[in-house]
Amino acid sequence: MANWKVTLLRPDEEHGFSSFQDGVFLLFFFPGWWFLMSYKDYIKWERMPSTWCPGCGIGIVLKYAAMAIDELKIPKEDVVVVSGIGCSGRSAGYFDVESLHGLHGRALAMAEGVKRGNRKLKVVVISGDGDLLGIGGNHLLHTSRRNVEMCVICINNEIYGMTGGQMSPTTKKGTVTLTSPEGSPYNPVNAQGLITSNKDHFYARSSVFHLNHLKKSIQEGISRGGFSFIEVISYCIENNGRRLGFKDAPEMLDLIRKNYKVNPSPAGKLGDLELGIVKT
Amino acid sequence: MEAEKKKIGGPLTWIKGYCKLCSICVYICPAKDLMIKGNEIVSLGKCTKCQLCEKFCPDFAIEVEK
Repeated sequence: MANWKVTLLRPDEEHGFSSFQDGVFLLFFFPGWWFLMSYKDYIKWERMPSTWCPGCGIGIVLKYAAMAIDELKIPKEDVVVVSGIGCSGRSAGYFDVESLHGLHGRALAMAEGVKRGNRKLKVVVISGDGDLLGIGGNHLLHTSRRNVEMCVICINNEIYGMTGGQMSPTTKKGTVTLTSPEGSPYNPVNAQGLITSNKDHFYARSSVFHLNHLKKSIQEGISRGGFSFIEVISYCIENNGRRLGFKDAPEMLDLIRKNYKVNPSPAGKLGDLELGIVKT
Repeated sequence: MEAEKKKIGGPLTWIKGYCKLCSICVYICPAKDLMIKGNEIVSLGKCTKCQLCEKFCPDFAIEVEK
């Protein structure tokens, strides 16, 4: 309130358009202030540049999650971002909202606690495939079964990237990794099947290349009023791509562009290489 | 902390402090406007303000004036 001039001039600095008093004050003197807000007000700029590798897709998901929250016009006080452990677990620290970064695999358990503590809050979980589907698979089963209102964004890069590129539950059969030099012998976990086996479900698959689809999926997931699971197809260039013969991040982005196609109206189930939203 | 910004011609602003030179903007640009020269990103003056580089940059390192 005291720094309202600073707020008006530099919205992405320390004092954003955040507090309720600021809002009332500005609305009185300048009715169009709401349109000045952008996704940049939801990100902690003093922590940038991020710790992720050059070209990592998590930065894109961070940007589009912030954009989705901004376009839904949810005030900063009503959003909580929860994340687990791993590369994508760091994203909670870059949001300028209340955030929680806890034990490995327990992101969903913590998010459910936050939601049950205060029902007004919108909970967004951003975590990786190793955290949500690997060690936290049990929590995923039961949180989706109980249909707790939260939006889970699972960044799926098909590898344990932070620890050096070991085989993860979502690694496709035949992929060469650090722990499977002759190709992964197992079939990957079917996240779509896990989520859609519940009677009341929302499952979306998107990618870091199809940005409008990604934003729309996150917005639908947040405003759904139940458990929503968004699997974002991403890549790991440093610990997986180089072993597979990719030179840089754009080549992996190009592979996603070639392989995945958006299916605007899937009939109950998505194919292996399709993006879309399956919901009841 | 204020990151170092640099005008690189036309509507483009490159934020040097955030950039990791991943070359996604160079790949995504439909007008083939951007280029990596040494440790810097340069513009060849063909920008059409489509903002794809700004949308795809994972590190918030390029901005396009509307």
